[in-house]
Amino acid sequence: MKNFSNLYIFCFSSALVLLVAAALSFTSLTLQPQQSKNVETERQRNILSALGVESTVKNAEEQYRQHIRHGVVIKADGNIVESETPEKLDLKKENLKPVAERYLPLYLAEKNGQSFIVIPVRGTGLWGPIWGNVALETDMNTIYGVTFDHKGETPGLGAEINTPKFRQQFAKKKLFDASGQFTSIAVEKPGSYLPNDHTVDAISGGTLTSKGLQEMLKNGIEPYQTYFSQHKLN
Amino acid sequence: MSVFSSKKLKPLIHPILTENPVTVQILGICSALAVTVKLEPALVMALSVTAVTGCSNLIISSIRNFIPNSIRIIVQLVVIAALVIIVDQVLKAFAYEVSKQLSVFVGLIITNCIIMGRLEAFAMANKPLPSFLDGIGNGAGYGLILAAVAFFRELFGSGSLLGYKVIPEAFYEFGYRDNGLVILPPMALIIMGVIIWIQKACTKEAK
Repeated sequence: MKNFSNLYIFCFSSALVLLVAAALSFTSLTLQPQQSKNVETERQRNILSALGVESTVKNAEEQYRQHIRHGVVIKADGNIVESETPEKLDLKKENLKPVAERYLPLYLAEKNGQSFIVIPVRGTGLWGPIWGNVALETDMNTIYGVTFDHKGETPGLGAEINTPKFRQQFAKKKLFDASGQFTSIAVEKPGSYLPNDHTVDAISGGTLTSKGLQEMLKNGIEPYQTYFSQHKLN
Repeated sequence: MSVFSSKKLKPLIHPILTENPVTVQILGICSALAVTVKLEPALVMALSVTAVTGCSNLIISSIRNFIPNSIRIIVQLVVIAALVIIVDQVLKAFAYEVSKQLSVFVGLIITNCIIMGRLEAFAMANKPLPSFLDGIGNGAGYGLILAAVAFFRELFGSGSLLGYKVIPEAFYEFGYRDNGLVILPPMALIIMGVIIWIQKACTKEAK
């Protein structure tokens, strides 16, 4: 092995790093549009899936245009914020703000002539973030469908939140009790409660993910109460 | 002709069977446990690792005479890291669903001992072409084990292969249940152990 001078080592490493940096920036810039498109398609498919519309990567955009009339951003007092669009909102940042200052995204949707609203939610599971969409009927009380997904919950346990079996339990559940009090949806150990309109079965072995999901729904939907009372039909 | 003679192809063939990086050198076990729940991510992971080992071996071997000895590990790391980030970006753009399933493990290819091991042991001392073949061979050897483990784990854990159901519905009606244990990491280690056992038994006989 030859001996190299310090100057050579310095120049060699600088040149190498510059070369690598150039290669990486080039890759990143070239692939950026395609990557953003993937993220956007996934967001659209998740919302559609909460409405029970099955889409493929190819027809997601078309289905989305067909079913989602428009998205709005509101605040906890129910007023619409014109300057924001729900597609651009970062729920992670919004959840850190006090409730009164939060921007709340909302999608107005339509399927087979029936209207729905879809609320994106985000929370924490056991290992990382979990998120989802909740589709509500126009009484702003009955859940029509939900989707959940996660970054890295345990396969076979917490990761089961995105399976149809878990999601289907949420259909027809109600957010408010008979007296009009917001109760959200509880996720409880199977068999530990009497069947009712506000509780679903948790995942065995996925207790912390289940509890995180319960918190996500409660914290995520609660700020919309004023909007619900202003806009509910019948 | 000489390019494809058996001696020239030795660096490509050997790591797949007799010098397999996973079963003989016991390298790269961590990611082999993590990404083998389903066959598809395992295959994509195998391809990614093969691309990184092949290209990094080729690059390091081509510049091996210009790399100052005192900073060679850093140079190797920079090359590996750059390649891994490129692979990660390509997956995010063209295989989004799979890249989501692989999540951090694509990034963790950087820490896969196989890659740096081959750079130190082979690419620093050999010409570019054999180094490239050695990289591809080691990646393929790793991929072969990954695919074998993932095959059993997906078949018995989810009753499917590459996402298609292969265990007929009738089995489930008779009370067959997918085995939840197979999905968890300990079972990957057990399957891996069995593969190593079989390999050891076979190579012993050959001797």
